[in-house]
Amino acid sequence: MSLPTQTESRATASAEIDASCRLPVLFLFTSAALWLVAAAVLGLIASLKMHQPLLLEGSAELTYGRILAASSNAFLFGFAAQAILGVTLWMLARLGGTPLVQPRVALLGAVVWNLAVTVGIGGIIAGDSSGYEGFEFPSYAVPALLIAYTAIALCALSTYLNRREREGYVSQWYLLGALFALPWAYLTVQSLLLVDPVRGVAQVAINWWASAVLREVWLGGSALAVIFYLVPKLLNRPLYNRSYALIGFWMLLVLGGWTGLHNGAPLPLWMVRIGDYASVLMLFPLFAVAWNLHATADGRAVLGAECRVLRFAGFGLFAYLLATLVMVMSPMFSAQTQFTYFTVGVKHLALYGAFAMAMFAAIYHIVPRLSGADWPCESPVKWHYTLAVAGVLLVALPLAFGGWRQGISLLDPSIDFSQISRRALMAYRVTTLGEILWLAGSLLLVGNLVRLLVRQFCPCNALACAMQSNGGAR
Amino acid sequence: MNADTPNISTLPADAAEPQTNAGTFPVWVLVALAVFAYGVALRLDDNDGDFSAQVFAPYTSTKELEDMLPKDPERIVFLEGRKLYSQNCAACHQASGLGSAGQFPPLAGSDWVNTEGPNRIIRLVLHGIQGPIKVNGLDYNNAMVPWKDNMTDQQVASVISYVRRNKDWNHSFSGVTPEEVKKIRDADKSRTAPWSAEELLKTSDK
Repeated sequence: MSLPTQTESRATASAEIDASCRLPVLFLFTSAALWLVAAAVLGLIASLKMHQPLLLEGSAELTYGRILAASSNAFLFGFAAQAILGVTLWMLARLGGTPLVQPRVALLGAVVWNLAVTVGIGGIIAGDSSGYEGFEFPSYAVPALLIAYTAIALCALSTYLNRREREGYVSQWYLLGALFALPWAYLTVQSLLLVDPVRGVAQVAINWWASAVLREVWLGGSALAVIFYLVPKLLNRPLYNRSYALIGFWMLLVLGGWTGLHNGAPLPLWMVRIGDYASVLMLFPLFAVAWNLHATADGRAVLGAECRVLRFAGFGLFAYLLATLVMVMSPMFSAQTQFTYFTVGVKHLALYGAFAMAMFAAIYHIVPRLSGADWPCESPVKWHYTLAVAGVLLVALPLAFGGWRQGISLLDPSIDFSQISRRALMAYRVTTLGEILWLAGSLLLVGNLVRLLVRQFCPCNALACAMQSNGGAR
Repeated sequence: MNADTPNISTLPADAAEPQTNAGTFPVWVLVALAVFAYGVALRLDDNDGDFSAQVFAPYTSTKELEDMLPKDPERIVFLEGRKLYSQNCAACHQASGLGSAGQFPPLAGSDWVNTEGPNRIIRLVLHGIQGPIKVNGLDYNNAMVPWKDNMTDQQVASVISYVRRNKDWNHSFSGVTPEEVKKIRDADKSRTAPWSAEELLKTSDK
């Protein structure tokens, strides 16, 4: 044992890489979790106002339109963007076998990003929303967002260019795609809709295209990056087939944005049709992803796995496949589902069920490696899983089923419109319960993070921690 | 791979970073993708609305839209006149053409419109009219703005044709051509003031 074994040197290298990522990635994950709670609180208020319109009626700041936009932007740019950036920094470093470049710059970028998101959310609540769904941040928040993002993205890109493993892994492709997708879509919206607006139906088309790029390439791609990393790693098996992954990646990148122009949209027919056919072609990348991971697992349980990280990732994968399949099929039944809550439910499944769950898996996998200790308690992590799954399903399913029934009623001219609307409210009453469970889960995530970080990094706890970890070693 | 690993923290050491099998892509999947994409492209070709910015659902082609356009030239003039009338005239004379009692005289059934030739009403539309006027035996006293600077000969001809040939108002007089409007416009070039009813009645309607 005079020469270090391969595993030993790998462990040392991983430890070095993790140390370089520690500050920025832990900061990004912790603030992401805090924004997740903020988004959940705002989402809960919005859900309540849907069926209790007199709640908080006196305040212009808390009207439904502002609260809902604030909630979705807090989720997208407070939680999602920071979770994705954290995963990107760590994974590009780990998979490239090289320490993170300029972690201090990344940390500074993350601090500025949080300030800019705070200004943006404040602006939305104050009534300065830009009015384009998913891109509501007022223009004065955008330059700071751009600068902060550029700083972090440059660290990620330099780390990638420094990689020692020349051949990239699937997750690296998806993360790099996502890294460029966000500014690409966001700057398109800023320049073509807000700074120098185009005219007519092109505005709607651009807004939906950009939303689809965010949903499919940025969020969907990042979720897939995490799933493609964790499933082979935790099962300790190589990914089944590189070519499947390649075709899945490129088709998602090319088709993702087109899927936003859905059937029933008030756009010239050719745009809608191209959107429909792009959606149908998405069957192929979907199939490629599903088959690749199925063959990788080769009969081992992913959704019901013992390992909690794998369970989060497994549910994320399941929700991703289901939501994308419904979206792919949606041109066939858009006559029933247009103008209903159905699409809201499916989008919720994609955002919260697929994307957020995959990010939780990443956070639960990465944070112990950065802080050097495992989660202090098993049960809050398990509870987070249970609450998050219940929370997602209790929002997505009532909206999907309620929306379907709403759509069928809308097609029946003998039913009164106000009666349909009143009946559809029952779905929203159930979603309030789902939002409460989701909020509780998000609070548990913050609690887990804070407990672990305080135990590891607060000097006064170091002794207690050392004793505990010696005594409680499994 | 499964050798005991030294613990550098309280964590068990990581497995190696995930690797990929370099598996080749099965040809049949590639063929299926090509056939599927080709089929989708064919379907798109049949349903693309000719990539025209004018075609919206539920219509599917420019031909379908062209078939719905009026072919009859008189009908085209009538439709243009109806549009101009609702934009410019209906505010006072009403969509029904009945005007409003005591304020704006009617056009439907009006003895000023229902003349053999259209020349008098062309003059009226071009230069406007001011002061007392008797329509169908009732007195009105108001002002109508001149339209000569805001409407082309074509537009004046269309709107007057619409008024004079409107079947809903039981009118079936001769229409007006842009040339007729131009002739009167040229003849009255020097005129600046609006007409009065008295003056207009002295001119010929033919």
